[in-house]
Amino acid sequence: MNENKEKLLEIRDLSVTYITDDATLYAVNGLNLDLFRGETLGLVGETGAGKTTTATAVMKLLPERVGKITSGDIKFDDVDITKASEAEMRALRGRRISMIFQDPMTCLNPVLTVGDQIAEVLETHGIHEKEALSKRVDELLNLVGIPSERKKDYPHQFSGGMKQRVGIAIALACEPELILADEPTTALDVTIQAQVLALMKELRDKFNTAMLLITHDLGVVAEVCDSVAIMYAGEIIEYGSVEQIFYNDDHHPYTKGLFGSIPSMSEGQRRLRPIDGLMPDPSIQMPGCPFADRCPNRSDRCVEEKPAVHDMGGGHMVKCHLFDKKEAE
Amino acid sequence: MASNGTENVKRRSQLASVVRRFMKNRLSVLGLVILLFLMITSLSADLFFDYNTQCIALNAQETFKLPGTPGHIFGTDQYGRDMFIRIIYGGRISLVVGFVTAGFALFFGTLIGATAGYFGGRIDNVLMRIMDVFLAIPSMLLAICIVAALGGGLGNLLLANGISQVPRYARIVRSSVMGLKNAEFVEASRCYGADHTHIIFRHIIPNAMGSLIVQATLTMASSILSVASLSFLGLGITPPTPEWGSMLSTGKEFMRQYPHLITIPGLAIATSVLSFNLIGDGLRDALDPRLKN
Amino acid sequence: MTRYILKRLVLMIPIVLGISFIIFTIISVTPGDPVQLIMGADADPVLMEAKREEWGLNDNFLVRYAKYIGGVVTGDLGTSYRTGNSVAGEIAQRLPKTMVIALGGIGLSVLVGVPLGLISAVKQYSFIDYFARVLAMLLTAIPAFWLGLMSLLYFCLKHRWLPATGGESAAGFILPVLVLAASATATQTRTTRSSVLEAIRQDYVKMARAKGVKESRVIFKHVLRNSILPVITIAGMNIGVQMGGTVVIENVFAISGMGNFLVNSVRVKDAPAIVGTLMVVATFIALMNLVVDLIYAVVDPRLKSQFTTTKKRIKRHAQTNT
Repeated sequence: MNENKEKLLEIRDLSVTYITDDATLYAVNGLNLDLFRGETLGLVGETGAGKTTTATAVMKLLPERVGKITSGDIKFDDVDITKASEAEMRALRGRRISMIFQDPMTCLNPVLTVGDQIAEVLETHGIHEKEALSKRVDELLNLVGIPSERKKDYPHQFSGGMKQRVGIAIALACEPELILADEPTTALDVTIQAQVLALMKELRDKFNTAMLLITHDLGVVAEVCDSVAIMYAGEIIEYGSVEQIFYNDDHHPYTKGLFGSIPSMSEGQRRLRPIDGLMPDPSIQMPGCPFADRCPNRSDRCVEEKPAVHDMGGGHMVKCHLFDKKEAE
Repeated sequence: MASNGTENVKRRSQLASVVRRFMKNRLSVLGLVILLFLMITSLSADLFFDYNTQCIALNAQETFKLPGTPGHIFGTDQYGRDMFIRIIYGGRISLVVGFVTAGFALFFGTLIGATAGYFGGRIDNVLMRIMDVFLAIPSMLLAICIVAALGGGLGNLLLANGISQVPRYARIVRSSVMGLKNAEFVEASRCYGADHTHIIFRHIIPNAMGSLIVQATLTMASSILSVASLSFLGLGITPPTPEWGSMLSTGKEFMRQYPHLITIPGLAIATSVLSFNLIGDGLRDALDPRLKN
Repeated sequence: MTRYILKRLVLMIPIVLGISFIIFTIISVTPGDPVQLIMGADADPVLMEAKREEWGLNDNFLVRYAKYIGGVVTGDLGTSYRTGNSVAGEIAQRLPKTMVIALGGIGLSVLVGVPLGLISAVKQYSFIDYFARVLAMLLTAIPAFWLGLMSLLYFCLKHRWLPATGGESAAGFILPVLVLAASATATQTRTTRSSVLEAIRQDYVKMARAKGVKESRVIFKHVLRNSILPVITIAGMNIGVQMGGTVVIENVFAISGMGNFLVNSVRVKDAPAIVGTLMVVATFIALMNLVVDLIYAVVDPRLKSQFTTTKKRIKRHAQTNT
């Protein structure tokens, strides 16, 4: 599927742990992920699956004393992120890798103007001359659909949707190669969601930026993504192109549950069909498949042994014992 | 009803985790230990010492003994009274001051705050303006005023201190009540009368309890300091009552040759205030552990 | 903006008057006869009665209050029963000394406390953090008068480095200011520390780091600007507490300031002196609060909008409405 594209981000066997006074949390466990240039990968999972942790780990912005990458490698293009120094990371952040945050209400500094905050990322990465800065800020604001006079306004004078647009402007300012978008539309009204998504699509196409789009909304995935990775309890349990994930017949039982729980607009439905049970306790490391507890197809082997990743053909990967014998040639 | 049961379980385990977090903090436990020591010695003092014979009987020969002399661990003062015993009895007064002031402020503060929060509107406005005026007056000056009016003595001091602390408690309770009033209003159309107030009291108390207790320990600390200060100025508790502040005031004259007359009572004040502060801080951290990291 | 300031200044008047009324009432209706307290209980009753007439103590208390306020409006704060001098004059003599101590103490506490609290928060769990916290803890527990006496003992009596009676020379102010600043610094350090800790946790700080901004810049541009706001508020509230503290400090160091004056007046129920002093103090505190509010408004753009006139606001709203 991805043979002709250039690999941009490669994550191998990543494990991230949070150590607090009260407990140790294994947020990410042996995660493997590939992202190619210009590709939009949707990282899908419930709250607590470890999606944000993964993105934060790629940026190396885990909380100082508490969050640690305990194993694994992250490679961005030619840079080994796991081994990079803080100075090297700072050169990357905002310039080659950008992040869009989930809650637009809190991610902008209330005492600085919006223009100031956009200019900040430009200044940090080389543009110092006032005229050039001002022009670029105007350009960016127009790009996201905000009149440039508003650069003198403060965040509290903007609505949620507009604040998120500012966030997008900041992320795009230096034309990065990769954007990590952490649930960028979750905090917005549905109508605004559609606008912001359309904007993101447009800009992504324009600059050919790769994007890791974190979301729990399969609708968003269908709209925007090229490929999908399904995450559960800190692991990727299924991966494939959007077509493969949405249309193929064979899936990980969790994926089946996710799709099954979406209420149908066409068929009559009397009750919602949630997946039984809850995500496992992150303070316990499980020897077997993390979904075993809730899985309708569970076997004894699932509880004891971690499943291997099986290629279902064409790059569609599923991490489940069910598909042991069904591997394509 | 099932909800009551689960709520009780939740509350019990919350209490357990708060206690656990508190105990983990070595400094707060230290504070607690000091306080317990203080309380035990004050309460049991009469069993071991007879204040009359050992303190009131003036003994010219025993004057100005230094700490460490046999029979007088903390030495004696200008009248030959044993300092150790005076300190312990002074401790009683300080503890009484602390607890009574906190109790007074807690009671009236809750009353005023709950009324203001519950009724809202004009009553709230009026009450809170009055609270603001009292908050604006520095507590030391307010206390001086009340002493100016009513004279000194323990009772008036407690009144002065208590009054100056009431506004803080009123605010805490008021904001709790207001927050809940809005939440419960949805149900208000159904639940009126006893049900409504019942729910409010069921929820205010656990919610505000934390902040109130923390504030109480801080009040105890500050009232000990303020009574000591006032007595030092001669406006509070007057000698010969063994109050730490007044002991400092009278010892001042001789401090050059006999510094122990002021160092020891000062240390006593500092230690007890410190213990309350440590407990208060520890409680605050234990109640909201997010603030620590 | 100027309209707001004027409005606040005008509002201060009823508050100060209100305080004067309350205090006057309290003093007048409670037991204690100033004549007796000042002249002694055994003085000649004829002389005592004459004094009562002189001080207007035989009039109804409302009449006395009215007369008093009448005087205040013209700048006459009455005559002290105790010293016989004009209250305004006494205060004018003593005010500078008290101001030096109070403002010096507050200023020093901010200069030392804010940086210490900032470092303590940024380098959490480091040696400096523990040191600062322990120090703050101890300083809040130690009574100011004790600290004053101990330093008096050490610096003035044992080693004659500083004068024992403060307030006479510049050197005489060093210890009083330091002692007052001690506990104020402790409070300031703690407030700054917790405010910074809270600001550091915010999303916009994470965002700034995600832009690749240097950590030092993140602290000064983002964290400090936001955490200074609650610090300013608490510093303002602290001013009142410090005024109370000066009373004790003046006693310990034998400084003839306003605090001392107040205490002596209270002892003999010298009503004009008490009310006059407290009114001046209340005015000063109210002015400081106003200054604090203004600083706050300048620093926090969210409040600035409160001060722009309606006309300007409508104009701007029309321009930017998209």
